[in-house]
Amino acid sequence: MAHTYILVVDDDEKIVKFLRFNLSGEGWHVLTARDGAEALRVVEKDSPDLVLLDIMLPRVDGFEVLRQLRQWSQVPIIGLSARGDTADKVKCLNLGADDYITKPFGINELIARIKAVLRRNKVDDSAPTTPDFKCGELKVDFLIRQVTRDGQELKLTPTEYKLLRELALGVGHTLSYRYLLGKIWGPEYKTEREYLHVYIGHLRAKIEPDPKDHDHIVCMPGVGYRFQCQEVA
Amino acid sequence: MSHLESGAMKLEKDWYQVSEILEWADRSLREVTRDHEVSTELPPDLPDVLVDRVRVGQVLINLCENAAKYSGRGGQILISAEISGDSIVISVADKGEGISPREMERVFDRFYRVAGEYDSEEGIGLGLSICRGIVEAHYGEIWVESKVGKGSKFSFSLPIEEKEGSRLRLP
Repeated sequence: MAHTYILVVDDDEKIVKFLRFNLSGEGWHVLTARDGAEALRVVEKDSPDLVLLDIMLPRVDGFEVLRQLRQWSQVPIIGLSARGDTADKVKCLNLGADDYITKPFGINELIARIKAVLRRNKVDDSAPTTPDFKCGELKVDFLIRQVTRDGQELKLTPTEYKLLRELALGVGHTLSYRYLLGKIWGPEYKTEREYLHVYIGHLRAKIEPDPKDHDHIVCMPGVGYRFQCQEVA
Repeated sequence: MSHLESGAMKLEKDWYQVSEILEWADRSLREVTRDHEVSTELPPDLPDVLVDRVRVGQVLINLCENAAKYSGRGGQILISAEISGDSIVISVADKGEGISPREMERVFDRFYRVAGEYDSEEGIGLGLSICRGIVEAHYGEIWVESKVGKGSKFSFSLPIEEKEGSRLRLP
């Protein structure tokens, strides 16, 4: 059995112990960091499979840790916070977190979310239905999971790639919010539209010639999103 | 009541050496005892045990984390195993502050915490009550010996079962 390492970044010993006990029961190994600087060191040194990051860290807060981590690491990150407001959640997702959970949380919910994030970030080995997709200067090679624009490789997170792949494979068709959320994030996320909005924003910023124009990813208000292309190859 | 306590725990059992269980939990054990001196004593002739390695590893990690917490930085922790009758007994001993006889009676009770842990919501009690559930689901027992000011030794037993077909094995 392969080992799965989860880095818990929290300065509260009680939370760390609680998480260690429960996560080890799932067969996951828990690494710990008590502050942001230590978290960055552990990610670099031990390459954990997932990071549970408390946002309310002393000194350097979790948002800053997230910002710094995302400059060089694609490790899946779940933000934890005692603050339940939507602005924090959106900020967390905008900075590149894969999910966000408000304290206090039920351990079963947390475990389910960790499993969903790990599942989402696993390499999709299923045979692609088509080897590649081209739209103008944008090219997606499904075989090697590479996305390029004007020949330049675009660095997409696993979630961004899966979202783009889904939209590209359905080019010309409107895919509903629920369909995309269920397909990319998992059935338990079907009503979490904020995730989709945030990640659509990430994708637009990376693939659209001008992110403000929404040439490729078109929103159908109240329905979903459609990938549109004048010249599909 | 958790699944463990209600007896509804699903175990994924297989045959393991005690050393393999320690190896599985090694990274987590090193993490919880990183400020301590840990030694192990495993006799070379221990038979394999039929266990859920993840769950037994969870018990060991919890016992070692408690030992580290109550024995202070730099404290010594000994993980050992021995045959006792028809069981293997695995122990985690520390030279920490110890537990009073009165507290020992209740240490595995749900939500009970050792005096002084008043600020803990998930203290020693909850973890140990689940550890007891895991050990009992393996038809073993868990107990503690302790002297205040001298340290504690938490032990649990795992029955030695006969491997299917082992009688047919040639010498």
